[in-house]
Amino acid sequence: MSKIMLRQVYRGVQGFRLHTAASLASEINPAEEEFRTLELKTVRQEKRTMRDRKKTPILPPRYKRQKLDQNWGNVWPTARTFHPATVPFPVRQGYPATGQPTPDKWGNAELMKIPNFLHLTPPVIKQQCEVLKKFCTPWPVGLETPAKQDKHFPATVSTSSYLHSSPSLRDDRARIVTMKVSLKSLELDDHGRDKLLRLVKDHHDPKTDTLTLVADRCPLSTQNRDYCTYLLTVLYTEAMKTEPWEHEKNVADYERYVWEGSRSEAAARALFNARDDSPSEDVLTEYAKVVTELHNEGEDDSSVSRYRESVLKLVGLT
Amino acid sequence: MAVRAVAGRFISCIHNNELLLCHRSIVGRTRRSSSTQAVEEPRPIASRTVITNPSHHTSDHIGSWYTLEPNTVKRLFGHGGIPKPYRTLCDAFFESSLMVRQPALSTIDYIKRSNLNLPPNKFMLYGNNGVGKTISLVHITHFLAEDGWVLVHVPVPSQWRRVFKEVVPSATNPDQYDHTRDSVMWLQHFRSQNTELLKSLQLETSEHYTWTQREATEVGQPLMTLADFGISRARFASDCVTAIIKELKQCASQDRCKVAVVIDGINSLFCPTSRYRLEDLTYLPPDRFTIFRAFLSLLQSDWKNGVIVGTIDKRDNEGERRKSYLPRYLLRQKGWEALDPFIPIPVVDYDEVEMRSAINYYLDRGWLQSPHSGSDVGRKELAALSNHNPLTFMEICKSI
Repeated sequence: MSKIMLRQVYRGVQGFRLHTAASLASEINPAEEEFRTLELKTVRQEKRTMRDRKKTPILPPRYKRQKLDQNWGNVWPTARTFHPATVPFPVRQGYPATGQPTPDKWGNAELMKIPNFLHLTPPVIKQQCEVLKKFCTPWPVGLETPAKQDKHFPATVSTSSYLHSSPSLRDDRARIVTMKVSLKSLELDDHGRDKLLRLVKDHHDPKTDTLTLVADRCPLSTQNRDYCTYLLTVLYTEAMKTEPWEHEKNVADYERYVWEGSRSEAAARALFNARDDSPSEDVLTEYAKVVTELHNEGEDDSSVSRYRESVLKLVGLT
Repeated sequence: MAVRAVAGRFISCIHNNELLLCHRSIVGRTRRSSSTQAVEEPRPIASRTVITNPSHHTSDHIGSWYTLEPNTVKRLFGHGGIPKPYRTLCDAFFESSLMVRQPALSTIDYIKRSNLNLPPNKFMLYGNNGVGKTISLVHITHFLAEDGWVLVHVPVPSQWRRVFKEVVPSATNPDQYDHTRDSVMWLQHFRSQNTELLKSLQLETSEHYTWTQREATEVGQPLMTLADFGISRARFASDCVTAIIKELKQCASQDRCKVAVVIDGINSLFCPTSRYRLEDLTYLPPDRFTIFRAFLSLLQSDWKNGVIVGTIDKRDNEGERRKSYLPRYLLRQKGWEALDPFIPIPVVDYDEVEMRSAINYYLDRGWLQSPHSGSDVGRKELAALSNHNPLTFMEICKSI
């Protein structure tokens, strides 16, 4: 019985408080069994049972029901967040806590955050390609190998387009156009090549022998592409021309060391001719090769020792 | 080695027929055995060779030390040639010894086999700092002197560019500048090295030199009179140098003598800067020095019966051009064109045999005072500390 209810009972019954025990004891009359007993503390006969909640059965993870030869493309048709129960293989990701192994796939936020390519397995790609094929034209005949492709299409033009899910679709970077041309395809002679390299300077990559032109000065990519074409045309035509002042090029301007006509050649020939034991011309050609290599390829201990060997042969001290 | 009288801390002993005073702690490190009898540990003896003529040194002598006679040292290197730190050590050891090493032997071998009818062969020693280029050059110079070559030896040409005594505009040529006192010093050096030889060869001047109204050198005078005149008259010393060099080239071309040009730091002749300031406060390019022009004329290929031996050292270049020790870089285009074709001879750090020999020599001389120097661990430590570099090794051992 709650305190409030007890307070009400005491208020209702006058003199009850003082004579509670006595009145109770005196009024008990075993003959009258219909007398209601005052129960101060009601005992609930039955406990109120909780509502039976439906227990959802925890099913085993889905991958246990997957067959080994299932079509994975149907299981994971599009890009979706990683779901450990659907993925049939164990995978671990993340930095382990001290003494713990790498966290497994269950409840792994790292795995869920990163993009996965489970929707792009090779069989799925193959299938998609098969479907896309009917929209494609056949690969042009005569362009099977990369060599043939480079031969017929030596220039590559690249642009990037950017998608925004925002009020505006525009991106300023989409106007940038890069054109790459291999210098071999331009078929320039020595003079033309030297002139072109002096004009372009850093835009030429010696390792791959490609010229890279980047245009971003115009607002539209088509305009920049036209500008690249124009630049290439101008560079090529200028390289093919020979100006009247180009004859003033002297030894100090040469981009590579040329042994023929140098003081080194004069000294070597003088020494060679002074020798009276008629050495072979190979000595001179080897010397020329070694000196040219020393200057053009750079000097190091091995090239200096090759130079020493060739000079020893030149002076007859082998 | 006989141990003689004990005098306080010092013991006099005879080693290799020389009386030496050695500190007691070095001579035979004594250890007491259990029977309290002093037992001397054997001190390593340096690997030496008694052959003092470098032309008789062979590859069997590599790693051995050979001693230069004091008279030879005074005659050949009295005015320069051996670096000062090395000379100090030689004074401490009472002997001038140097190690026989491969680069010097190769060069000597090439010189012996050179065809003297051709323009002079040029042998250039190159290598990093402190590997032993100058000392190898000392060895080669000794050989050339013994073999009867007239020596034209320039110990430190970079000094003429950097720390000259006096530079004055030339009396004879308005375009040139003379080194007065430096030329005198060089002429004294030349005289000291070549007096006997020139007397025996009887080389004479071939043209008349008019110095002033009253002073002149006639035709047919011994060549040394030019040197004597230059030494007495500093004003004309540089011109005397030029004259001597011209005469020697002529004599060599006429098969009357063989001339060896030895220049330690030849790349210094091709540097574009000097410390001499003109009146307009610009620095004079060194190719306008008379003596530079004189020695550069020796590098031309218009004479024979000659040999040119030099070292290419990065310390002889100006500070900005010292990134590499390789010859083409240090010589620059001008030097390369002047010397090409030449034979570059690499000089490298000590190998195991030479390192062992160097440590043994210092132990033999009593220079290494620490008792652990000769142990295996001590040797390894010395080799590691010095990285097998001869100069670094010498500097480390100063304080051990």
